[in-house]
Amino acid sequence: MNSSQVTSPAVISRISTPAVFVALCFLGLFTVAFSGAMLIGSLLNGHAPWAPVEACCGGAVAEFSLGWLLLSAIGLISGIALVRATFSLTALVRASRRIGDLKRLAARERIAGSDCWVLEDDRPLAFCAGLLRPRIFVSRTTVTSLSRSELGAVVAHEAHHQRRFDPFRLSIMRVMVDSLFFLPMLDELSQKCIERAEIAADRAASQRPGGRQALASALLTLHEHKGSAESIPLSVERIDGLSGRRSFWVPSRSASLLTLASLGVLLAGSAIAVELVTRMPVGIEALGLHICLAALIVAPLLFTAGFAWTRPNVRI
Amino acid sequence: MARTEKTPGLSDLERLVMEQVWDSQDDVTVRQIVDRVNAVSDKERAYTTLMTIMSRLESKGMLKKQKRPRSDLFSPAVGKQEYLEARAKVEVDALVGEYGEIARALFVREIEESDPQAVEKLRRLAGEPDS
Repeated sequence: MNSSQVTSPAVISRISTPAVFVALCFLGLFTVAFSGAMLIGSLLNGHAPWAPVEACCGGAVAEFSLGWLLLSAIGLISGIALVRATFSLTALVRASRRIGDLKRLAARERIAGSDCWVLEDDRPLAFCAGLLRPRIFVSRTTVTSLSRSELGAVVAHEAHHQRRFDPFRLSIMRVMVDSLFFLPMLDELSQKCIERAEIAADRAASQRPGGRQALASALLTLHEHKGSAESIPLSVERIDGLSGRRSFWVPSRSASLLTLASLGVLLAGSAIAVELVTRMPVGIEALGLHICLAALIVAPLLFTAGFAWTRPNVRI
Repeated sequence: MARTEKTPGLSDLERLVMEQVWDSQDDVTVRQIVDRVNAVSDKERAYTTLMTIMSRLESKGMLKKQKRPRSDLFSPAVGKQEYLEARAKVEVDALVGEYGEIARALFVREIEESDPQAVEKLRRLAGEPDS
């Protein structure tokens, strides 16, 4: 991935990462719905390749035309998206059940004004987990290795995730990334959204008196925690966020272009395939007849093409 | 023995039984566990139910059984602290492995590499009082 991070862009962008993510998800869902509708519409209108077989009681050979091959391929992609969505949701439900098991293993304690679940784990853990009722989990190692103010900053960070239902939002994001696999830019965007959530939680923790220093010190203590292979990821963007600076990033050209190509192939491909299957003429006249159809294809493509071409600075 | 075999998941009743065994100073009989479980639980449990649970816990490797002529004696095969630590590790790893996003809002994540520049900046921030 060759997206680049910029902390002081020449042009301040008003585009935020979640906004682009949501817009792209809508485009992806629209594409799946559009191609699915095209496929189902063709089947219901008696254009299915097995219709002649049925009509002639096996006397005729089914016509697997180019249009049908194209439509089947697009239908397959939509089908894969649905299957992936199902798997992703199943994994999410399974993981959600694990949180109940985790709670049973933990001791409930009041730390820095928040209810926390303390796990007997020798790793320096602190996280917020749960879909509808997110809870704060910390390990005993985190509790014992941090000072009171550092622990307060860590809990304040997690409490922000809890208030904002970040685990729920990020999980839904993951379902979308898994399902709309043909839009590679979503993965890049979701990583930036996670970073954004972390930076926002850091800022919330920094609002406490002495919070910024305590949080930085806690991050450092946990990062340097010995006796465990795990350490926290410290990115420059996150530390810049802690310093109060706003970070921007530029989407990678390859992911933007691949996303555009995927949308183009799926939207235009399904429309062309329907025209081939129904033997309608392809051309300016056909586009004139189906002006709405053309608009439905062209508008999302123009939007994505504009984004891929300009590659604006996106606010984290 | 693999960690998951040593630390199997327990149902609510199995966990309640294990709590009583862990809290006992000496080895216990099924009858003693029946009395203790019924003393702390709202629901009355039959002797046979708890005997089945204890046999299951023995087969899971959580209890050790010593044969006695009148009634068998049970003792924990795994210490409470040891079990909780190992089980928490298994559950956290499984949670993050299966669906990290549900607990992705991690303050501490299990990634081994950090940007050295970021660590240096953080060191400076940790040393500076808030402005």
